[in-house]
Amino acid sequence: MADVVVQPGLGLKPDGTPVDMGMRRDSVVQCQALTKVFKDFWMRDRARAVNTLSFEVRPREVFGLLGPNGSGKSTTIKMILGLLRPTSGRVAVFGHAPTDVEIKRRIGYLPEESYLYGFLNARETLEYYGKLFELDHRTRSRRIDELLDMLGLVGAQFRPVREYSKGMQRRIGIAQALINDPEFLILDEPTTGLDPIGTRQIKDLIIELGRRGKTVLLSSHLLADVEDCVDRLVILYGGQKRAEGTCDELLISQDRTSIETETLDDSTVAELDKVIRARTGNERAIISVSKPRQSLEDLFLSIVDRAQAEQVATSGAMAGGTTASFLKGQEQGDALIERLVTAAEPAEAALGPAAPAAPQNNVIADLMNPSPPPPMPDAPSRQAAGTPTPPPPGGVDLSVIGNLLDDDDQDRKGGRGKGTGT
Amino acid sequence: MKLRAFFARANRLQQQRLFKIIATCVVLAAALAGFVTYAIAAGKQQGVSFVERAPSGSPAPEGGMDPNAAAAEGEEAQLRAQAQMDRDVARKTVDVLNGILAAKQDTTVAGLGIGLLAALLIGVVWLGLALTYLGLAIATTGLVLLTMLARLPQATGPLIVGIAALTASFTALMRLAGLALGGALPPLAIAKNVLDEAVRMKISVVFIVLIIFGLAALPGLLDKEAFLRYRVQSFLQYGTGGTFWLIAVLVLTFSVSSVAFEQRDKVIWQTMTKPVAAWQYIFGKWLGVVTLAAVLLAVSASGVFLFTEYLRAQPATGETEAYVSAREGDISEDRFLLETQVLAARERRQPDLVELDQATLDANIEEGVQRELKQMRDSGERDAMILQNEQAIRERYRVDLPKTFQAEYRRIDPGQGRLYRYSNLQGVREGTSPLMLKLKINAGSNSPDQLYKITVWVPGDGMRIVEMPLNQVVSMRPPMLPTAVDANGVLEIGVYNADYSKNPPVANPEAIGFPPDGLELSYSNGGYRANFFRCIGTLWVKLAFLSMLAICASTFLSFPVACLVAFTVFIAAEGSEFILGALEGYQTETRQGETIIFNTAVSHIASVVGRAFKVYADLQPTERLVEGLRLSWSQVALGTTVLSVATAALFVAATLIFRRRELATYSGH
Repeated sequence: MADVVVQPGLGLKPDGTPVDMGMRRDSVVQCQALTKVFKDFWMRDRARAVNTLSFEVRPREVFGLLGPNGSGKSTTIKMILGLLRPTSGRVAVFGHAPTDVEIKRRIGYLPEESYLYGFLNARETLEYYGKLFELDHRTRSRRIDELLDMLGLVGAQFRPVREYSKGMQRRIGIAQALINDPEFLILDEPTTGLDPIGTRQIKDLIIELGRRGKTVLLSSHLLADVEDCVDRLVILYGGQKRAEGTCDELLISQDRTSIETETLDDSTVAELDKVIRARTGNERAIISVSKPRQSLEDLFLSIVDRAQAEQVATSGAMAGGTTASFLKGQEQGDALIERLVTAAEPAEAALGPAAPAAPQNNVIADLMNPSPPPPMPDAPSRQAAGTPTPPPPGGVDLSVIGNLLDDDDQDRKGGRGKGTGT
Repeated sequence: MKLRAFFARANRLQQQRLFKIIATCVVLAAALAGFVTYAIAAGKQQGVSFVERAPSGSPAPEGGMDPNAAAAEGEEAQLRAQAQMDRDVARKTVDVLNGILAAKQDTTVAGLGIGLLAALLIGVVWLGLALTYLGLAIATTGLVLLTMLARLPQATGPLIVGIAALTASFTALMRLAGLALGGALPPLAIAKNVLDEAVRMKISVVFIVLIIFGLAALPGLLDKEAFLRYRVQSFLQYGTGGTFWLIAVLVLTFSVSSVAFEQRDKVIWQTMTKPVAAWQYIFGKWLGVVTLAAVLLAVSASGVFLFTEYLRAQPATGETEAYVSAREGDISEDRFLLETQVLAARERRQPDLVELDQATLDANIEEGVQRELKQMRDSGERDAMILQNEQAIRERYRVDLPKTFQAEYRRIDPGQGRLYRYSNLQGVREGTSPLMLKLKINAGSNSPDQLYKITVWVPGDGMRIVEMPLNQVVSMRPPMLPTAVDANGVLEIGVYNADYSKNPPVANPEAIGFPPDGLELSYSNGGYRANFFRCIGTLWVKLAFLSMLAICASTFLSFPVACLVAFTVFIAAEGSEFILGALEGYQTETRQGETIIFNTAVSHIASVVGRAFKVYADLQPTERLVEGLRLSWSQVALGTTVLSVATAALFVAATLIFRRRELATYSGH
């Protein structure tokens, strides 16, 4: 599938009315020719934040909204949430107007900054938001316990939120967005202000929620965050859509292949080069050989892990535990497990096209011939548990290896979670 | 470490259900024992203070001069009737005084106080704070003992106790209110959040501390040498009025800040992106603020009520102990006035208006109009101009002439007298409430150094000579007995512009006139305590209205502008009676009859504002409480209905405005 590049102005008929963009009926979000113009006191146009923007967020997908600062991401999200009214165009959430109170029961929202009641402590904050969703006392308490544990705030739960660091406030913001176990989660710059541990955790969480069949709208200008998590994305600039598609559609380089192995000596590399040249009639050869180095993130995480193992005291947020069980659908035993299973099935059907892995498979098989491929480890188990996994070594594309691993999760996700599954 | 472990154990203990049950039983038993002990002690005092004869200061049961009495009645019949009347008056006098002195044996207040305290303590027990509050009580007692040992001023101890008691009551009630609002519904959650905000944010804590400290310090500021009735009035004035104003300012400021700052700081985004409708948000905010106001009002009203009863139980001027006059068998004037004028629920009445005969009125109007028209013709005015002005002149006479008649009815020439009639006083004769007559006269240029002596004739009581400084309110003492009202519920008094105690009577130099409130009759109608709670309830209704007003303003205005609007309306509402009064003398025309445009505009605006808040202003709960005037159920019902409708209208307006707002573009500056 080719990249989809959308021309500015698409979505409006010549007479200005929105055209049918061929969107699915069951879309979680439908934006058609959405425009937002901010006006000054005298009602003169001050800024056109969003300009005839059309896109849809499909059920059970992690959707990315990318763009530099001021590109209209947050404004779009605010229109989706009913905090702003479109100047023109149409936006529907679960098929209803964004101002419909009932649809908000199904939504979790994390704003780009943490706007919290400074006089409440973390527990009271979550109590408050839980009550707004009319959660009963038992459910509320259990979820709050799990969220505080997941976000590493158990030790600081009785301190007023105004005393929290920015990162800790961000964690509480994330917790309040998850308190209702939302079907549709809107995260506006979720990793802003978070340390690498928190960032990793949020990414894992998004992936986990995606696995559960939740719909996530992720807005960010941190491209690595988006790349690691999303199924599809749009790129905005100046309030207009510049590109739309899956990560693979937009990112896979079709004229390069990367191979990663244990350390090879020069002669083996030379031999491999010969094989490649021979098979391609000297048209292709190894371009570069490098030794991957540990990323700074991995180093950081290992230091923090060691410090926690040594029980070094801290007044800040802890690394956090596993993903809250209610977010993994484990909160009510077998019945919910059953529900989780049934909920996961449609997710497979909804996934985007798989990455073109088959040709790559053949190359590797030929290279390793005649020995049969070794049994693969159960890779997704770490991810499912929500524990941090090492990122891909810098400069090495692991997609091929990832496809080779061929585990259920990878198949189901069609490339989602790239860089975290190996 | 041991101390911490001890506190932890104590905390676990007070949270246990068994402990709560036992503590509740202990509180109930203590309350019952306390009440029984008090009732027995009060019963022992019986017989000490009841009056068996009319005191010398009360109206004497002797016949008076009746200038209008017909001489036709036979002397014997007159004497018989007079003797019967004397007996009635004497019996009624004893009833009135016994009614006053019976308050000494009244256990209602003790029962109410003990009941309230027990309810609060049981609430504290079930909040799991029994030992915490017990510890605080012990610490407070220790602190008071220390102040006594350190020889600090005598008022320090009561001040500390007052602050501790009020703070403990406030915190306990706030916890209970929080518990009541603990349900998992959006309006309740928002209201609970408002309560949390109130006790944790500086803006409201300052007011709460001021209220508690002011109320605790007030008893120490009363002049112990003053008459008891003045001390009670001062305490009621500052205790109720002062706290109402402080709570009103808090309610306005806090309501505005709670909504406006949430929008400015964008915290509202996270609330309004949850399943919360606009009306739920507005209602939740209002509910939280009015709950806070109710808690503050309950604490301050309880404090005022109980301390007023404490003051009431103190000896008045002229008493050896409470309710025991220094003169045997008598009642002190201070006690008498305290019980009948201050700690009372009096009804006020003006004399019936003079009935005007329509034909006479029309004739007078016509005569006046024709007289003016003739003057115009005589001064050479053109016919067209005269015709043009005739209707206006006629209308002026139609409005002014009845007023002139009524004013004339309240005017008495030197040496002359007039009868004034108060009807519809059924039930007053059978009661034990004395009737107080307040007089105010104007004469000539109201020279402050002149003293007029006027004569008031009271049925069954005879003549009273009242010395009247001009343009000042004077109460006729002693007050009239209920027997002055006849069987038809009519009281007729005669007022003479002369001193009839002299023979021959001495007339005053100039005619006297009574202003509209210059012949005010008042009498008790119901008890002070019920009136107190009606007044406090009315204050809360006012606060509820003010809260919604402030919330409505802050849905679309920033904090300073919304505050300005809310306070302007509050002051206009509180001062609307003054505004309407001031308008009567406000000039909108020059002496030449030309309209002053600016003054006319001001007059119209002020008139609209004054009339818009008339019901609000007419309630006057604090003033009524201080002056011992009754706030009737019908007035409460009318005021509550009007203010509730206004509050509901503001609620609808606030919801509609809030739904239209784009919350994400608000800057708050």
